[in-house]
Amino acid sequence: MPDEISLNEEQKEIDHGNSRFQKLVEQAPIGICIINAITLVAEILNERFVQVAGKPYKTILGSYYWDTFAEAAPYYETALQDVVDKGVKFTADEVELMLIRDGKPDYINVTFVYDPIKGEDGTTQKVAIWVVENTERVRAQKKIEDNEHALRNIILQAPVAMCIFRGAEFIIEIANEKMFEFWGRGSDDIIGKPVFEALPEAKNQGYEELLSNVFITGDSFTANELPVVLPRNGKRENVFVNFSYEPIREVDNSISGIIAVAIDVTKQVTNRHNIESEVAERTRELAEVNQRLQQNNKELQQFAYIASHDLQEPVRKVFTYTQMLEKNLVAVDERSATYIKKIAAASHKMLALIRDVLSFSQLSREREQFKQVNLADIVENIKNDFELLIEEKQAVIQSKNLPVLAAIPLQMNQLFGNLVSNALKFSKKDTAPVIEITGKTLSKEALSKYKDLNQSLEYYLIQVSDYGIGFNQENADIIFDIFQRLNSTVEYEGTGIGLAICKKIAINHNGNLTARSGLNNGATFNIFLPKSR
Amino acid sequence: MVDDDVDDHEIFMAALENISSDVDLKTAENGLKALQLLRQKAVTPELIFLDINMPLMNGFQFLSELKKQDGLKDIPVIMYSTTSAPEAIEQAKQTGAIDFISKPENFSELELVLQRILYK
Repeated sequence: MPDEISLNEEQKEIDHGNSRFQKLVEQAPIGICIINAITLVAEILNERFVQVAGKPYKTILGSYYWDTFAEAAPYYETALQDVVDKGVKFTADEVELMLIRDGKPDYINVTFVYDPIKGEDGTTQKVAIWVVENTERVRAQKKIEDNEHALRNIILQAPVAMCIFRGAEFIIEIANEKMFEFWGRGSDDIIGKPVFEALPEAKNQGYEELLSNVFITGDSFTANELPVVLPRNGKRENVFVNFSYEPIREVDNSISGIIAVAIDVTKQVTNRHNIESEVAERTRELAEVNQRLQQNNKELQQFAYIASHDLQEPVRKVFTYTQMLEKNLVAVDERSATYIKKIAAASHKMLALIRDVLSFSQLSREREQFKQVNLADIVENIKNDFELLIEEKQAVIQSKNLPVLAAIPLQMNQLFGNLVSNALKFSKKDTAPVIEITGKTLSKEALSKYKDLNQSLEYYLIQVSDYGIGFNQENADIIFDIFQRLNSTVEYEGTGIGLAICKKIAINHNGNLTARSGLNNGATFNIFLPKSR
Repeated sequence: MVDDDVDDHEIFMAALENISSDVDLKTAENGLKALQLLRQKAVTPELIFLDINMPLMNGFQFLSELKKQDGLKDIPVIMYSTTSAPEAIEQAKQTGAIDFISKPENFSELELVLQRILYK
């Protein structure tokens, strides 16, 4: 049966061809489905096609194509029929398609071709459907486009001047209104042009180098309060800008452009410059006033010194001559004697006043020398000075823990002398005065409560306490004012300068003097003196 | 007594008279005048009271000049002033004064001080 054999051979040949074809289809890198042009039943398909279709192989194979892809039928049934009827290839390029995949609707992007396979008679026998899914690529592309769109929107809507320079020529790709304002140009003149062509006035100010550097190295650049000359309303104006150049990097990390952001800070800078010069001016004025004040102070001190010194002489003479007169008069009536006594008392009081003013005015003289002073010695000296009064009043002066410190000896004498004198003077009648003078180191914690003291120094606190008539605590500050007196001159004589002198001495020594008391409850004076200068 | 203040001449005189009847007080109103009188031997004092502040030649200048003169340099000098500033006292001693007194405003005190000086 040669015919049969040859037939078999032929069949074998065909079968062989078919299986080779089948293998080719199966191994093809794209989805392939071959359908019968008459019945539109899928006859051959590969795994790739199944993947794109998202439906089981068995469902597709042997089924009417539009039964399988009913969801796509409204869009492509006609196209497929046209291919069958006219024998012309149909291509759909990256179209978006909704397919039911794994039972769920899925929007995908595909490129597919309906390719007619013609028989010997030229009619379309089969249609090969080639398909490639490009959802990922299209989505990525879209994402890039979305990003760029968002970037453009950000730039356009930004409250500061922004623009993109694209490429090595720095073509102005997009810029917002603020940037146009900034450049003093309309968008028509400059969009799409290289920046240094669009803005020739920006040339040769160093921006070429800055931009190139960012473009080449990818290092961003920022500058604050840079002075720039820009055209404004037809004039060249000096403005100050904060600006930054940021490289725009592509997916492959290459730099494709630069985002420029600029903020016009001219107002802020000029305001600040104005404030700075204002402050400088005010500081200068203050220094001047201060100098005048110091001068005035000096003159005032000088005046007080000279005035009191020169006042002292005539008053001293009035006093002395009064005494001489008193001595010289042989027979003097009682009334005249009283007058003479009053003249003597008044001139003596005046002398005391002048002396105190004199010593007050001399306190701040700078030539006074600081020496190591033992306060215990000072107190001993004072006890000697007041020996008579102490004896008369039967007073007791106790002292302990008095330190040795750097001070002006004469002023320490005045300070403790005045305080002891006060304590003796303002003692209670009929009670022997007891005065306690004690020293101690002021702790850091205690120091922090005294804001007037220099917190970086170490202090001694020396307390002078008495059990005398005291004073009302609400007067604790005013007792240190010059000429301030709380008691009548009749009962307690004095000039009202003593405590002012004491306070000034303490302050001269970088220290302070405060007082605590209650009426009839004794007084405690707190002397704060630094351990070293 | 070297002092430009004639009132003080009088006060000192009165005080000295009260202490002793044997006192002869001669005065000069500044250091220059006093030096002239001393050089001409118009006065030959046993003791000089010297004020600090005077016109033409003050107390310190006068004392320095005096200390340069043979025959005059050994006359004891007591300086005085209204001030009792320690630096004035110190300078007086360094220039060669044997004592320094601050003028007491109290007349009887002045008498006491002068008495102490004269009978030392």
